[in-house]
Amino acid sequence: MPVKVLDAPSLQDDYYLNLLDWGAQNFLAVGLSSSVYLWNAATAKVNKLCDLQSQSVTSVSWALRDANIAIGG
Amino acid sequence: MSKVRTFKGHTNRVGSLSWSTSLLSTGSRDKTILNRDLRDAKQFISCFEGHKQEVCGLKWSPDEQMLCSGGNDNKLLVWNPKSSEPVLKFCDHQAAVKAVAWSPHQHGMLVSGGGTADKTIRFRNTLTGTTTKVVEAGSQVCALMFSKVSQELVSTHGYQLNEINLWKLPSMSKVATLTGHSSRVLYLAMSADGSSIVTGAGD
Repeated sequence: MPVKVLDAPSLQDDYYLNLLDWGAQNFLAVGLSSSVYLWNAATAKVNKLCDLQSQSVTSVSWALRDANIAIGG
Repeated sequence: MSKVRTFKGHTNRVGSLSWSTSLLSTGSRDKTILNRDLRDAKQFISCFEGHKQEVCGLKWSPDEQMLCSGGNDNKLLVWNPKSSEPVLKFCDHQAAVKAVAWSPHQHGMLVSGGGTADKTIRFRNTLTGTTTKVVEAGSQVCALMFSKVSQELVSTHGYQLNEINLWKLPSMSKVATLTGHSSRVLYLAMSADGSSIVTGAGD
């Protein structure tokens, strides 16, 4: 059984996308529709990072060590 | 957080991303991979053209000497950052190659998983260019990741079992099967300390 279930409304069911990444800073990033949300694994708080407006987010990836995140659209 | 930079250059959606220490590589439905340097004013410093369809899997090796890419053209390519042609081509999958992962434990070891028409997990030795093991996974392979802390591999699956499997290495005996998703388990990520995984699905 999962230890935690996070609600991710409108998470795209598209085999070719990469919409989830957990970075070195312990933030989980998820691309939902045109937005990217960050879940702080230490505090369980959720923040909306950005909105690409009319464009769908198609990939998210944290840099290896620093706090940079790349978002593809 | 604020936006550092916008990189352009692709003519279609960007479905795959991979960082090395100095580069960000981006794979697109326009079939190309562009390598970006945050410290360079140019949009990209090199372009890898080799796939005939969308690039959906992309990963730098831990030593950052090789980049692997999987495509909807059923091909797994391995690139040397200094070369414009792939140094290795694996054309044995029968479906799209989205799931790719480099071993953090064994230098040059790469695994790739195939889509619905394929359902295999294949181990590659990129130092010799050989395929060392083929495992029938039984379902579409959506994502693969090596454990950072133990000799184990985790795979997530779609059609038709929608499950998560944990495999012991190097035997590839199945340690556990995790269920709970009611649609294909497309997305997989691991915490930095390697203790937890998170999976995502359209359900």
